[in-house]
Amino acid sequence: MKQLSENIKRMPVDTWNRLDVNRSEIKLYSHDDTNDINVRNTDSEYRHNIEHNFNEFNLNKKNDDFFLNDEVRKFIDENRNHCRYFRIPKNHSENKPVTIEFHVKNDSSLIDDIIIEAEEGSSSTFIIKYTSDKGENIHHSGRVRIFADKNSDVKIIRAQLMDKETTHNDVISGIGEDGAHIHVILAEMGAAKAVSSCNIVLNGKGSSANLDILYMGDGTRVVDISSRVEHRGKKTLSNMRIRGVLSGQSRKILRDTIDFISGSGGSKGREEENVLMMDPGVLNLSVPVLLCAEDDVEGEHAASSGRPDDNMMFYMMSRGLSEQEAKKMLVEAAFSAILSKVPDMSLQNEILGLLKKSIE
Amino acid sequence: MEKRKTHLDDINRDIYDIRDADTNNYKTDTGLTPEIVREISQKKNEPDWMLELRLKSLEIYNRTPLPTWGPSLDELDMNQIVTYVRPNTDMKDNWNEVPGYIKDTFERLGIPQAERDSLAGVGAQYDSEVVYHNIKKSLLKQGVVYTDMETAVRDYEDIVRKLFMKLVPPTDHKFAALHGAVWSGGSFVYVPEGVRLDIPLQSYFRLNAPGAGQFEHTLIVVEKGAKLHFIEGCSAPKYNMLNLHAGCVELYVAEGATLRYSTIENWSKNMMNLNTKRALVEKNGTIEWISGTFGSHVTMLYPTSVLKGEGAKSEYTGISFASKGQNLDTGTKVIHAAPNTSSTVSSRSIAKNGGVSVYRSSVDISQEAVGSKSSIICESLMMDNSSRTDTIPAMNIRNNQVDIGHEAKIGRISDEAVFYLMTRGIPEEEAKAMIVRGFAEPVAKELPLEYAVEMNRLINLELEGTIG
Repeated sequence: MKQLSENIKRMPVDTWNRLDVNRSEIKLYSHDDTNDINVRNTDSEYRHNIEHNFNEFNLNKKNDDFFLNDEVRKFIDENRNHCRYFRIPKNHSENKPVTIEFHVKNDSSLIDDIIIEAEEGSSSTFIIKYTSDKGENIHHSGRVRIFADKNSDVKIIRAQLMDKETTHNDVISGIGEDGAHIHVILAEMGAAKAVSSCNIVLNGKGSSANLDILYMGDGTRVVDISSRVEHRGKKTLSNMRIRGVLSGQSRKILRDTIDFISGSGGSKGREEENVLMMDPGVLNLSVPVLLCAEDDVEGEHAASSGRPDDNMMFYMMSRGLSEQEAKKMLVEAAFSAILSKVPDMSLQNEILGLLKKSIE
Repeated sequence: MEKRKTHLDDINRDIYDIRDADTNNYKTDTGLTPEIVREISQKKNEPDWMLELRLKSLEIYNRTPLPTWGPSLDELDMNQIVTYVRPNTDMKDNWNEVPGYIKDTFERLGIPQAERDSLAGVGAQYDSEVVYHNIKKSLLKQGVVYTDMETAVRDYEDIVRKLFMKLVPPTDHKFAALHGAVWSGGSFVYVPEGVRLDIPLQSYFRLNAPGAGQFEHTLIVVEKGAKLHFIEGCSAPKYNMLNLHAGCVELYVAEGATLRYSTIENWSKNMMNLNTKRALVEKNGTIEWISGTFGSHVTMLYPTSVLKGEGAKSEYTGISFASKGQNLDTGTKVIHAAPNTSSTVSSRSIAKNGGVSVYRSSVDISQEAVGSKSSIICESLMMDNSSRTDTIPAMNIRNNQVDIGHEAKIGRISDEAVFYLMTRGIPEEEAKAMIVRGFAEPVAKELPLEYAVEMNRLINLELEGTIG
């Protein structure tokens, strides 16, 4: 097994070093034997409509995996042990979600590399789920690249539900051409240390992105997320919604950036984070960044943090709920707006189950 | 409706740009060596502990790297900067005794007039030394001290030795170390327990010598239940070589005391303004920062409030205006280190004509700071797309008994707002002027009237066509 330790850039522009947000340490582990990884997917349902293969990456398009450096890129290229390439043909609408579920067994490491190429006018949904055995010698490093051509619509749900002792590194990058829409839902629910990032470039006129992030921290877990939407084309739209629940001694760092490049006139971007802090020992670090080199834009961010509202708790308890039940209801409510966009009830319930368990 | 860009005039700098001949009494060589530091200390006839602090700071400076974040400081070459320039006069307490050319400069800037009209005391620094200090006699009787830092080192040594560069230690960053090594001038204010000053004190810093640095130190102690409003003004004429300002402000706000610290900074566009300001606030004390940043080539300035006592409060109201050749990186830091502390931040910035304005902040809530609240609002106005405006706030929260809210907006003047005002019968140009002035209003309303008028004059609007 090979290992790579890298101190990677996590902010589009640096700020005070004492805050410890500019960079993060990540560890990647290679593993040759893919028998230790169970993969369940829904190939049979889409194989006639969507081109897919496991090895060929003859792609002449370039993405912008902003949060990776050359060493990490090279390590993934050389050591990936599960590759997928999907091409959704022009004007094809795939009604059912394409689902891939990875289960990583003990003492093994998954490095998955997934490319989604959505051709003009196509529409598709992908659900990628990660679970694992229990144990600290389980590692996941993954990369997803999305190419959304003109007027295509790609939705990707990436749910990380691994064991609490594992390590998880993850990077999603997407690029949208004229009129394309990319919707990413990230759920970071497991791993001892989860380092996750998402970079979407709205390259074409009128392209848009929704980025919904759910995270949960409990015990001594660390959740480290960087997200960025780059508005390059004219009249592009982005909306980031982030909901988190932290309990125990967990630590969370979130850096969410909207970057208006010169020439992105008429664009609008909004980011919003709400964090529920259930216990006094949590660490909650947020850096919502707005970068702007264009005058004809509207950028907004809002963030709020605190414990469950006393008045709301009092009201619910006065209606006969126990404190624990009331708290569970509040965290469920915090996640519900995003969770309802996940087109898989069992996955919704699985995420909710983990969330409720974390505050017991 | 045809869209045309709103034109916002540059700040009229005529009165600031008048330069006097460089007729100093003494200045050090360029660059920074232990010999130069010893020379400054010797000229000031300082006690040994101060010389030791200077030399230790120089060591720290030499081994501390430049910041790896924020605007580029590559243009700054310390070997070209003169760190100490003594003007051709001693400090006076009678305005008429100040040499004519210095007096003329300050009078053009309206300083003695302001003293006569609305101030309780005035200090004026020209290059590295304070040339004039005066305070109303009634305040002297109440025990208020307002003098230059050199006098304070001699006459109030106990207080100065206990507090000087303790809140901003030389290890804080490279320019705090530089300041520790070569500081000169600045003001010392002591407001005894229970004394509440209803009218402000003001210090004005003027850097005239080309290629020089100004490193004034301001130390203010506001004792229990006391109140003070201190105003700081800064300007320099424009030269073709870089000047450097690395001042340091240390404010000690005791239990139940209130200190308002207002700054209107209008350095010329060849100035690197790398200033450090910090306040330590005890139980139920209040620090209010009012900050207007208009000048300089590069600014890195983040007034910091350390809320040490239970119930301590911090308010920050800031505006910056970046135009061509300017990179103004400003904001604030608040450290909530005790229960039930609160902070509010209201920041506005305008960028035009290729200027870069950055709002950078951090709010730290410690585990002990239960029941604390913080509300942060920052808004940026882009006047054209050759400019840049960034917002980089951080919130570092370490307990859950808190209420933290943050909002930020970036954009241009709203077409809808102009349209609405026009439907109410207000002419288009007046509508736009109202909107931009309204944008600056949160800062203007916190300033004494004369300064609010001055600020409005600084943001002089010349509008044409519709907003675009």
